[in-house]
Amino acid sequence: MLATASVIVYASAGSALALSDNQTKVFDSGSYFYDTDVNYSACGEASALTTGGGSGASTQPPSAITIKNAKIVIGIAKTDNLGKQGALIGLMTSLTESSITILGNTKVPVSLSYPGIEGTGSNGDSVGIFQQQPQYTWSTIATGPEALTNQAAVWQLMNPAYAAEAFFGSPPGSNAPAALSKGLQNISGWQTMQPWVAAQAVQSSGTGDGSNYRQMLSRAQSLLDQNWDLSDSVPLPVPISGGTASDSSGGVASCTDVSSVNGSCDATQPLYGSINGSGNEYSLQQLAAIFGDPGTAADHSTMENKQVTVNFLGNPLKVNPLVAPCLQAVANQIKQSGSNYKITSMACYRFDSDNGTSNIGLKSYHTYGAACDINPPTNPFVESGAPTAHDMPDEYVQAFHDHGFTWGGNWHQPKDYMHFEFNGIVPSNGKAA
Amino acid sequence: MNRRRTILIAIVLLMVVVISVVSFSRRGGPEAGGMLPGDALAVARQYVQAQQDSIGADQNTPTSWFDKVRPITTAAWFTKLHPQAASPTGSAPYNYFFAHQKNYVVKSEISNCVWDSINKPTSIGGLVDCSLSDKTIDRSSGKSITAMDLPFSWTAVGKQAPPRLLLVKQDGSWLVDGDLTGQAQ
Repeated sequence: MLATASVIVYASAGSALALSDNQTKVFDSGSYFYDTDVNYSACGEASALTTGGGSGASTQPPSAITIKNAKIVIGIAKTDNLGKQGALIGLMTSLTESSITILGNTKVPVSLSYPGIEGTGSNGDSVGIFQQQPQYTWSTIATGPEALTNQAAVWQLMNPAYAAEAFFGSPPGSNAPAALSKGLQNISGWQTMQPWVAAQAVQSSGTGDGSNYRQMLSRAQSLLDQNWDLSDSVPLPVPISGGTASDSSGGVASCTDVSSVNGSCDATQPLYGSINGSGNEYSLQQLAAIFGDPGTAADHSTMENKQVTVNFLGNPLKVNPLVAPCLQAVANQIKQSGSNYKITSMACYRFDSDNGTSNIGLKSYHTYGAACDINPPTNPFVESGAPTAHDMPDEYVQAFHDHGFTWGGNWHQPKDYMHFEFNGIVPSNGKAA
Repeated sequence: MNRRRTILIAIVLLMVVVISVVSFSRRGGPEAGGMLPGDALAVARQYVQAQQDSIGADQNTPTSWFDKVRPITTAAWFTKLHPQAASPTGSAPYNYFFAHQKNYVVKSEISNCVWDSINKPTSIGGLVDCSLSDKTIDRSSGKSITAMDLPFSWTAVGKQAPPRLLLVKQDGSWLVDGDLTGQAQ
């Protein structure tokens, strides 16, 4: 696999499509931001939605080799403080490249004598679990054509811990060598990219849209779920110092920044958001007037910074301060109900891009921290509106309703079973009813 | 009397014309959630099939599928899809080698392609949602390989993530202008 230092810039090349006589919307089909398939990590208990291919059929379990190396990838991600999101991207990439197998290469003879070799490939001069090419500055020992015959350099790339370290890169501003300065951490905004786009940004594979990696997302998620808790941190083979650690939260609060919620919830039911509607019942003007200026895709730091943290049944969530008291009240009511429903993934605030297609930009309540999604894998978004199996408990629906939230599962079309959005405020006076 | 009758008839005729125009205009454009025209459907299917084919033993290179979709993609999307055109080395996912080793090919079933129900399509473009299911076939025997007989990393079997393609009409032809599979509202 070709894996160079170049980074594909995705956000620039949109194509214009006239939607109506007086409206043109840019379909920025390369600029991916999370929506329902976000990694809703929370205190190491959450996981990403499985949107990859092949999700419908049971397959062979991962081999012992795959599991062994997967734990190393996870361990390096833990050492780098990249969270489950980083580990997921690493697993998805290495599954695609090598089935997470230490591959030698028949075109790189010195690779075939590596003591830990687990298979042999012949793709370019790629070696190891990430199929990094020695001549493209992945090794700290040698680069260029001469690296192909340098046993130490080739073997370094076949060490799964080093290969993972190179894939994940180093914190910006650190003193890392070039070979360790073009990984995931060195990709600006990787936390909010679709996982396959982030993978492609590191690997520069021949499939520019990252769809080759996307195919493996569900498998990677499964592997992550099964091995995260079983994987210990792994020391970096090449220690790095300095730099600012990546924020792996992707807009999700960490376990250590849970703050208390000020104020009380006055809403007793949703005042807007008909059960027949799409749910985006406040107008753009009303959303901004109530919750604040959402900013833009390029700069939404003001809105992001105003979010406060709610500890929702053990899940720290960033939400709008106006919503926080009601979300806390929802959590309290659920707790009192004795519900044993397990939240494996949940998030509220995020800036939704407006690419005119799957994400709805400033119309999204998430962009204001006024909507939360719970367990996307089992509570799907259904565009057709056809009733679909889900596991959202009645006590959750009731608790959210009782504190001003509309449930997407009650919409006619589409249905969004994971989605609750806050409609408990009268737009005219900006106060909760 | 005759004048009143004439006016009445004129009003009725006017109503008929208005109703007909409105009805015609509604039928004339694509509707959200509606079926695709045949040529657009063919493009969507061809693209998805080519993409799924890409790892199969019947592919000469891992990027052979680009050649198949080039005539049905916009220049902008093709550039983004294939940014490493000048690369001296190809890129081969592990499953490409696996398929060639086993002589396996991928057969896709693409169905239920409709215009996206949220983003209303226009006469020149829109987002298409489909259903997709893959089978892995032993090219030698023609038999379908069961999921349990395939390695963990092999995904081309069973129900797949629903393809979402952006189609636009350029010079009278439908073209793929983006792949938004995996993204939901």
